[in-house]
Amino acid sequence: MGSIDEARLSEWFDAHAAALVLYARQWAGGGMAEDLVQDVFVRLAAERKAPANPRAWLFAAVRNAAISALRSRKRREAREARSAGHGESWFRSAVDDLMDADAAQAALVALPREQREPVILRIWAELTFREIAEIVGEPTSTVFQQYHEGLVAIRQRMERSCKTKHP
Amino acid sequence: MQDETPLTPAERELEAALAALQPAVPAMDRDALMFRAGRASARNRMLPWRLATAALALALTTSLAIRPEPRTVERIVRVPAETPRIDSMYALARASFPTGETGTATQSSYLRVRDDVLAQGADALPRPPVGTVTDTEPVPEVRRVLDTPSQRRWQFFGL
Repeated sequence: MGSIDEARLSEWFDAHAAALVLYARQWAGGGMAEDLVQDVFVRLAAERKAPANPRAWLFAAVRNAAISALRSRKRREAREARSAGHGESWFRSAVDDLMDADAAQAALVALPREQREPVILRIWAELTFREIAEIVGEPTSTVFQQYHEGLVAIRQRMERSCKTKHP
Repeated sequence: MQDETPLTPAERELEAALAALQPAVPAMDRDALMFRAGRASARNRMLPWRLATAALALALTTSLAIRPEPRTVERIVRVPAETPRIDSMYALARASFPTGETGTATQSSYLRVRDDVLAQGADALPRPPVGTVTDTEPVPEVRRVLDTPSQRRWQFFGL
């Protein structure tokens, strides 16, 4: 694997930056997610060799950077509660969306982090369960279980939301 | 592995609906990021050279700081004696002859002897002083001195 040139870095930025920021917003809000992602890209550029799996490397690096930035557990939890979904839109709203972006964001925010992380990594980062398991440090079966539970929770919440809106 | 997710059709539908949502465009300055990344990459490429330079500087400083005193090595050196020049040899020979009446070197007996030898040959050489070995003792017969077999043969025949 050769060194990382500007073209490859630019390609990876275009492909993954938005999902990386979405992933980082679980821990950091208020512009901190963007800063974390930028720092990770700078670190990637400084690497001697390109990682074998750049996408998995980037998401793992963002996770580690976010957790390192928020060292104190209390600070992290408080920041998560504060930043999770408040003030920033996680998704672009489009007319032809099958799902309301704000409702989806609210459903994701309501998930416990153990379920939210696999959902984001699986759906928007398009990682395999094995790659997700390596990133979060859990067995693949556990990750799949958490992902499944997350989907069920989102569906229940969305159904409740629909019933509330259309009684 | 588990990538073939055994999800229900409703869950697959939900998965597809979520996947259709596009993450918000991050508020990042792409050019600034590429600039920072380029600097970081260049700094990383320079790191080995910087480390090598620092190591060399450290080694040089250390070697200068703990440089040992130069060792004194004692050796016996044989220097050939200077060969005396011909002029000085001549002066030495001339001084060995007694000087003449005038006391100057030009009138010395050496010069006279030399002139005589040049004019008359080896017979002009002065005779050795009386009392030398050649005057008092007979010259031994060569065959006797050498004790050659031929002499013994002549003795056998009574000669």
